[in-house]
Amino acid sequence: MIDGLKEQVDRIIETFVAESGSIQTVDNLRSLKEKYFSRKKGIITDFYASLKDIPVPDKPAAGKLINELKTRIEEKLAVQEKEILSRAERASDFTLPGIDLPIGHAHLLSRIREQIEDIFLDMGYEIAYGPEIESEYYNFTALNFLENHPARDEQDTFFIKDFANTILRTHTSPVQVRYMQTHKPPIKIISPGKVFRKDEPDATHTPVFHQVEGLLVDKGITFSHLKGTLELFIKSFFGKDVNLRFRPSFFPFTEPSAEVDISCFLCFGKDPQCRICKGSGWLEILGSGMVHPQVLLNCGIMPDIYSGFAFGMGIERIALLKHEVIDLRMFYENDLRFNSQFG
Amino acid sequence: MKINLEYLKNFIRLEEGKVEFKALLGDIGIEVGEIADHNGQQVFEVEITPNRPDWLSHYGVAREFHARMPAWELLPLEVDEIKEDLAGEDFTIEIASTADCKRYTGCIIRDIQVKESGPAVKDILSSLGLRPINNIVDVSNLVLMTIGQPIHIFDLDKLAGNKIKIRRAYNDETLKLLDEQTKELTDKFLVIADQQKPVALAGVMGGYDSGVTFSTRNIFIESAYFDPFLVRRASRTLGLITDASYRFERGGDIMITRKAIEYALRLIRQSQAQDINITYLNDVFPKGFLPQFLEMEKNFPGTYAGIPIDDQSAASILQDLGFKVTDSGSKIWVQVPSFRVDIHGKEDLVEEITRIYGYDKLASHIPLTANTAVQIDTQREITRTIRNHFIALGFNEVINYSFQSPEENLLVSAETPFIEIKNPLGKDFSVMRNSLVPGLIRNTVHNFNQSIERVALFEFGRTFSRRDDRIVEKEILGISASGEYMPGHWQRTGGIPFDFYLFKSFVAGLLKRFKLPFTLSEKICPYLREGTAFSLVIDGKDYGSLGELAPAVARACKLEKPLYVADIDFSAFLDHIRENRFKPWNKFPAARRDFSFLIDKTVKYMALEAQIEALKPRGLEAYILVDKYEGENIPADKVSLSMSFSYRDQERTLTNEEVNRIHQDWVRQLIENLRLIQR
Repeated sequence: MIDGLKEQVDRIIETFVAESGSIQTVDNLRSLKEKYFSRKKGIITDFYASLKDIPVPDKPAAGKLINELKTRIEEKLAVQEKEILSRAERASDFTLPGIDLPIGHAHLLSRIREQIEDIFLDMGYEIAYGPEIESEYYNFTALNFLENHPARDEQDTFFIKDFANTILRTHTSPVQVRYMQTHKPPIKIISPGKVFRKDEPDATHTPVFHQVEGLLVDKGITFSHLKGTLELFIKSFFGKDVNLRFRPSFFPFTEPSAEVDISCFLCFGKDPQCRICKGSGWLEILGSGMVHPQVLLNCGIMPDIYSGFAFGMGIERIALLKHEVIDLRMFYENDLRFNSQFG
Repeated sequence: MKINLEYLKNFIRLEEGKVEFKALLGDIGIEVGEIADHNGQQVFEVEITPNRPDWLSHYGVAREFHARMPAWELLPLEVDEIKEDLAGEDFTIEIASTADCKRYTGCIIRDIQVKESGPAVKDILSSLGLRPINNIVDVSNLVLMTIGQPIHIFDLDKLAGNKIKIRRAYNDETLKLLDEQTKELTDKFLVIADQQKPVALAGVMGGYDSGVTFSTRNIFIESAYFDPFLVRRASRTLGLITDASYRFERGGDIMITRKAIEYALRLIRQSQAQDINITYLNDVFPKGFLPQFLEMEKNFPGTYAGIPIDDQSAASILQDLGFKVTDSGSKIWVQVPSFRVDIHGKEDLVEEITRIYGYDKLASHIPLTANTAVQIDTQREITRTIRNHFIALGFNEVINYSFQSPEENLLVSAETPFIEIKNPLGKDFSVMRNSLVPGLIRNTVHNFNQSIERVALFEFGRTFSRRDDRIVEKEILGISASGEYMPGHWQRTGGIPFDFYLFKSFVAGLLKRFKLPFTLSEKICPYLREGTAFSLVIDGKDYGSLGELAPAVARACKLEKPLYVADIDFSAFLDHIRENRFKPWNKFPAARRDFSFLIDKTVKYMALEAQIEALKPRGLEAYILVDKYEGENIPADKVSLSMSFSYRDQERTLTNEEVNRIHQDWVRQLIENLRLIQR
């Protein structure tokens, strides 16, 4: 009796699978469901009704069989319905655009500054900060700019009204003086920040710009250490193939002094029409030198025991070269069509 | 300055074709700008650093070439030497103060003929950018360009009396200069005076009345060493920079004054048809010159610069540059030539040696210094986090000048006087900014004018103010937003503009990120719209403000859309950020209860929140305002609010009954205290 029932169940399942296989719409699926589960004459409903004819001892086993059959068909119907629905959903247009989410940007100068700082932090330099409004003492005198020497004219200076000997710093070197006066060697710092020179704004000048200066003071520091350090920096920043060259120069606070050029990272000197180096093959990038013994003395460091080097670079200049910005004023115009191209 | 390569060949045997002169000049420290062609002659425009006045002449450059290329012979300067002073005239030169003028060499020539210079001289001068005038004035220019010593030639017959005195001007004196400008003088100016009046402004420019003209017959030539400071002050005071002042203020060669005259004599002689009649030469040099000696360990250049140079090569470089070197065992004694005003110590000698030896031969070494522990730079970390926070929210970073116009400062505060710049680039840049807000407004207006719809900005920068006659610099974070927050999208209609609450959320979100224990407290702020202005308070201290720009200010700035701004003192972060420590979270389930009520319109949400905070029972974890309604079915003086409260106990799961009890108990208190009407 039970075996017969089992066969019957298997047949119903077979039929159901065959019938459901070709169904593609939820409506047809519902009709099929009706066919099996309709209260009036559904196949499964009828099956339950036939239970009453089963002998009592077989009833529990038969009931179990029919319950299993019901669950299996219900599950199959549910799975198929889900599939049909999700197929329908997939049919809508997923090429429609998403939301144009706003994207923000760091200022290019901030990014360049962060990159430069990162390289020197990795080399064990600390960052030192100082005021933008400075005394002439820290900006010039302590740095061996002689009073009334034309070297002071080279850095056209803004003066502050009503405050004697007070200026807008023309470089971040005063930060180094302040640091040296309050710390003992070894000293390894960089001082990034805004600086000011009285230049009418044009494509290559802005009266406000940014510098990163570096200073290392210890026993036995040589000019070659400066070259090695800058070489490491330049290659880290511009690429391993970029070389640098030292040219003699003059800064009141360094002796010997060197202007540092890097080989053109775009054409490597091979393109006479190069839009960056104009064919010279070299780009002026920073000023540097051995800290002048008088500067060390002014900061309470004995030059017969310690020596040091210092260097300084303009962030705008580096950004301009690296990203081929054509006009320095764009850094301060804050037109978002410019600012949003970087960072 | 200009260097004519052809002319340079008179002083050094250049070998052309082997080197690129531009690179050679660069190698020794002379930066070359433009290279021009003057009738087939190469003329270099060079930049001379202010420490090297000796380079401001062809002979000075020739000397450097020779040091760098010793095979190129340096030719002696050919002069008409006069060994003894001549006293063929009744004439005197008097120096009032040797501090002002250390040396004065004067010379008289009679019966000369003034005419145009020959074509060779004219050609050289014009190649160097100088206008030929007459054979006598041209000589003075040629001497200047050749050996760097400024000389001045007077028409002797226009000098009153037979005495020249180098003295300070009297306070009521005037002098008409060669450029035909008449200057009023004071005792700050050093002048050359005849027996009646000043005839030249020492080291700057000669007088108009005593200048050489085509009718001049007899001349007085001056070659002197004036105090660089006096020349510089005169030049700057009068705004008069001349070839002479440019050289004198950098410090000339005190030992060359006589030689300059002897060289001039030769050039004048060559310009005349017959031999010249030199009647007087007086070299007034009361204190003489004491050369400078420096001592240097022989191994110092090697160790300081890190170049492998032997003692002999180092010494010969110095000698080629004009230094006298004496060996004294492990050291050398170096006598510094008079024209090298820039050399003061042994480090300067190292630069000379390294420069000529070749900076390209410097080795590269990495310094092995004792590394001190580098602490994490908190300010930098915070700055970076804030920057990335705002970038992710779609804000753009801006950087503005530190100075702006007084009107811009006044937008924010009438607290004057501002920190003013004495010599600004113009009124728009004449005061140090007292706030970042005006810059953000300016940037917003600029971008709106470019049809950019969404202008959300932030800036890190300093502001400047006065406190008790001191200048205070503050690091500030400025934030602003205006226009469209989210653009329109097909899923909804229309975009979402920035509004006050959204902006407040951005600012509060930043502070929450850093877990700053802040509160916002209402305030009156002149540039913020009434009611929208809030102070950002931490531990009772005001760290900044937030709000919508006042409509009047917006109108004044031609801003049509509302602008929301905040400025936060960076010390808020530095002072209050604490090290984060792990806190275990609550593992038990939370239960939510909603509460809708009517409240008097006069009661601000902030007051309600204060009550909630004051009364909140143990177990109330969070609450949120989910709905606000006023209008139909609500009394006119009331507003309907719905809040959702979330309850959770630290130690166990609360039963439904417990949650209900806690909720009802304290909500009842709220109702009583704030006279709420439950809905």
